[in-house]
Amino acid sequence: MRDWLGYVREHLCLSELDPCREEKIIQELASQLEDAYREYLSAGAPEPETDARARRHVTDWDQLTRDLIREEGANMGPPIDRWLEQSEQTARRKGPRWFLLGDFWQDLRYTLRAFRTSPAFFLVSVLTLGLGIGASIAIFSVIEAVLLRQLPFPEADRLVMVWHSDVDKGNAFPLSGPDYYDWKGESTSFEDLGVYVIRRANLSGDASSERAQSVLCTAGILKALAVEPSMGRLFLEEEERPGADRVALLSDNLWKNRYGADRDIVGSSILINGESYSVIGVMPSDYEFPIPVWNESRQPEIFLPLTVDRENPGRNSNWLFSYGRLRGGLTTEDAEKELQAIAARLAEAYPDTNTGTTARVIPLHEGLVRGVSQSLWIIMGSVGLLLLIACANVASLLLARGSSRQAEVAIRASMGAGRWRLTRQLLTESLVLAAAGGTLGVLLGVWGVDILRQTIPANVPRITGLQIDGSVLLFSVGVTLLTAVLFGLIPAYSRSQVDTIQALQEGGRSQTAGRHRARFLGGLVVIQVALSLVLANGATLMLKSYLNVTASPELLSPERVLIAGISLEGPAYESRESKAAFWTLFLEKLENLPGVEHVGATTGLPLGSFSNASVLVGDEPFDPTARGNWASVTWVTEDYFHAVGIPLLSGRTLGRQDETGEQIGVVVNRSLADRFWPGESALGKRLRGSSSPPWFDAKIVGVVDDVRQWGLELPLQAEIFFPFNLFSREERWMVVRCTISPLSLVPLIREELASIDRNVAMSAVRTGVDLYDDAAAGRRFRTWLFGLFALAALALVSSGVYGVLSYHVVERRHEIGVRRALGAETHRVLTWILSRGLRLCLLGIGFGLAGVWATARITESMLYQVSSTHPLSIIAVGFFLTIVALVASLIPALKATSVDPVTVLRSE
Amino acid sequence: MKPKLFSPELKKGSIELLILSLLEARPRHGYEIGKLIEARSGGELQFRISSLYPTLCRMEKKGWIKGRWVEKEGQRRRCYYRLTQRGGEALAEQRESWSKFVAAIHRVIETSRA
Repeated sequence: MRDWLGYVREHLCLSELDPCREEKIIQELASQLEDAYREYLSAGAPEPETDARARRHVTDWDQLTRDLIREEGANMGPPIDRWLEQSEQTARRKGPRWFLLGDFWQDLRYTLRAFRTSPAFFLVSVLTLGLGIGASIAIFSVIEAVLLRQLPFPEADRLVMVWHSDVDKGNAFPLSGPDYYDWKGESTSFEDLGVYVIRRANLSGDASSERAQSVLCTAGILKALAVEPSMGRLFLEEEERPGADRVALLSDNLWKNRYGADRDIVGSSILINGESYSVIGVMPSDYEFPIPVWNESRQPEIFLPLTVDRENPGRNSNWLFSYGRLRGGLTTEDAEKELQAIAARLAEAYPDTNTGTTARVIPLHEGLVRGVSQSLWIIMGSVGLLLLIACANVASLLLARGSSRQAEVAIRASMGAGRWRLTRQLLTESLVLAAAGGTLGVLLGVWGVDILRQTIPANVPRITGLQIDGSVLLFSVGVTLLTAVLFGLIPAYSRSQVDTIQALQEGGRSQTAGRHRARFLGGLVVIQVALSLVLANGATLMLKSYLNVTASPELLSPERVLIAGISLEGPAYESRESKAAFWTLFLEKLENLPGVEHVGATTGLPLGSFSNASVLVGDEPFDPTARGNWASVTWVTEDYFHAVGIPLLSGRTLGRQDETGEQIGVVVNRSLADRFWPGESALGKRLRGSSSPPWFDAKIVGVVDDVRQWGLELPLQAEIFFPFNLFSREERWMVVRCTISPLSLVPLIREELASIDRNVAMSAVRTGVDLYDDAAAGRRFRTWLFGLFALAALALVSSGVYGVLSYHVVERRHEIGVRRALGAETHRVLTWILSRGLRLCLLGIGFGLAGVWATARITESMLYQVSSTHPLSIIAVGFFLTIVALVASLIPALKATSVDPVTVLRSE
Repeated sequence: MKPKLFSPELKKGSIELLILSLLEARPRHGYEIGKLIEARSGGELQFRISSLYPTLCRMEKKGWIKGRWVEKEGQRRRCYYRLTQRGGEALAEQRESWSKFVAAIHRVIETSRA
């Protein structure tokens, strides 16, 4: 007997219709044809004739197709549908080996049609996935640029940082000149070893004066990095020696912006710090000098040879940063062992300066990103949580949608589709969703990277290389596939398991399947709530930390303070006296400007001063083996404290008289006074430099209030303020307190500066408020990012709760109708639905608390003066999540109260 | 004698009324409806599945009839159609229209012959 089902399917093509409807029509026509066939057969006609007579009931299949499509009111599908159908038929015609491909085209066709009939579901799912994937891509691109990408130097794994280190505490600090020469001379572990310092240089000449970031380095540094300039050559070792010809390398940026990309720049002379330098080369456009994150310096524009005196300053002056390239076949451990042996010999030879110091060698990449890598990975982990929430959200949407398509799945199952075939078709839906979400995610990721490029703190190393490149795209594909599996597998497997008979009976309902699905959905909501609690708690704690960090700036009225950097370099300012003369004249001129109240100068600003020294308190004897009392050291002018806004607590500020005599005068901060003279006045007390002989002998003449020196978050240091003119360092900061807008004074100040010396420029102009803003930039950025993640998570949770409860109301419609019919009042139905939402939320909060506790140690590293398990934060977040869940439950609950029991019961 | 088939236009105008009236008594499946029309009309009205079935779809879309798959003991699974409330109203309406139409035609042709 003919297979009428196959016969109809072969002739009838209703791809424009809903798949479920198409199947019903095919089945019905097949049934009617079989009725006709059986009637003719039972009338006694021979089989071939009955077959032919039955078939004559439909002679024009095309016409029947058109009539059915017209009656069903369906439109012709889009070209993609027809293309997929043709692809499927083409694949099937090729033979059994192509059936899998044919099945795939068929699955794709059904999937696209199904999504066309549920555009809201498709859009919500794609948006949700796009959000999670896009955030992951944006953050991963930062991780890739900063942490994963190889340094852009040949054989970068051989590049290392070399440090001095305390034997006992392991603190790393820069090298001294004599130690550098000894290590370099005795070590055999390095192919190249060099040192550098970051300075500012004054560019002058035909163009206006400009203060540019410069690196002073030995030839060994640039040789170690092994990058050839795009024009000219690198330094030679003889150019480091005193009296050698003055040469300079320019950055590509400076060459283009200040020198108009002059192709003849190599060999020409430029004015740097008032002296003529010969340009020997221009660095490549993508060249990035490795600067550690804690240095907070921008990329250098000029490279100048560094002359390091073997003797002066001595071994107790640690001011040189060192990079090296290991010899082939050696490890950092090998080099470190060797240098530690050399350091031990030097400690024996120079006990006054080198006792207790050793060497430390770390890979350059690790040293550069130390301080940001942990934060970045934590941020990546948070984005991962957000992505999981998005996957759980879409999985719950798929599961809830599954119940309305049970009949369709049942029809397919009844036609012989096995569980794996059904799962494959449902997984195709997940893949299509994931692909659409992934595409949107890439677009959002590109946009996110753009925003990150503008908002991420500039001192994050290697951030200029931030981009969406091949590895980031590969990551996108991987994340997309992973999300497809994560959110698609369980719903696909669950939905493919269908009780055919129950599902096909109209009004029939599989109680068991419904309960399982409800449990799954509830579980997914619980997961979302739990993960959101972890994220939201983290965001709240980050906000608290940010508020702690930025609370109460110590400076008085910082918005009235103007700050600018000035470097006095070159032969005109070699002596201390010449520097003193400049500053005296300059500050006098500034005092006469309109609106100026106080002017001052310093070698180190609050929040950014990293110079310290070991001191002897009172008559304490010098002991080279002792750890020593460390204090931050700064040189300031008389009126500096009034200018910058540091209150004077007792005594007086520094004056001319403090610069001379057997004992100079110094001012200390409250922390130092309380530490060494608790409960008594520090005025008149003695401090000396911890060296033999002491490099200073001072009497305390004043005590000022504390101001954080090493950034906003590092502990307060004891601090000593020396008379400004006693130090010969070139870089100083000008500080002006005024009654008018500080930035309005800038043009006038530039004029005064030019009137003294046209070769001197100022830069890094900002207000006292900017000082705090800049210092808080990193933490502000991280707080903003976590806040964004938390908000996104809360939005997803609310939509998740809403979706699940809406499904719950639809599934329980009959039960609600019965309850209403039996007299349940509106508020009881409302309470019933709301309580389900509340139960899920509370369960999620419970698991979330476990998550908070489990991640406490990781979170702790990101916080400031607040515990990662701060109870108030957890309570506040839990309460807020509960409110969100209740609000999201309200609409489904109100819908439940509007169920008409009569309608419900009649329809059953 | 071989029964004459009426013109497709005549049949098209009456098929819905025929189906509705047959379903008034009880639910029937699609093939049964076609056979019943043929039997009760004495073979004068014959509808193939290809013309009957789209009409059933149209009427179901209008909400006049509702199809439902039923599996009876000893029988194959079939889709049975029943008349809905709206279908009953449509039937009454169409019966009245049809009676008026036939009466009007009759008046014209009888008057012409007279």
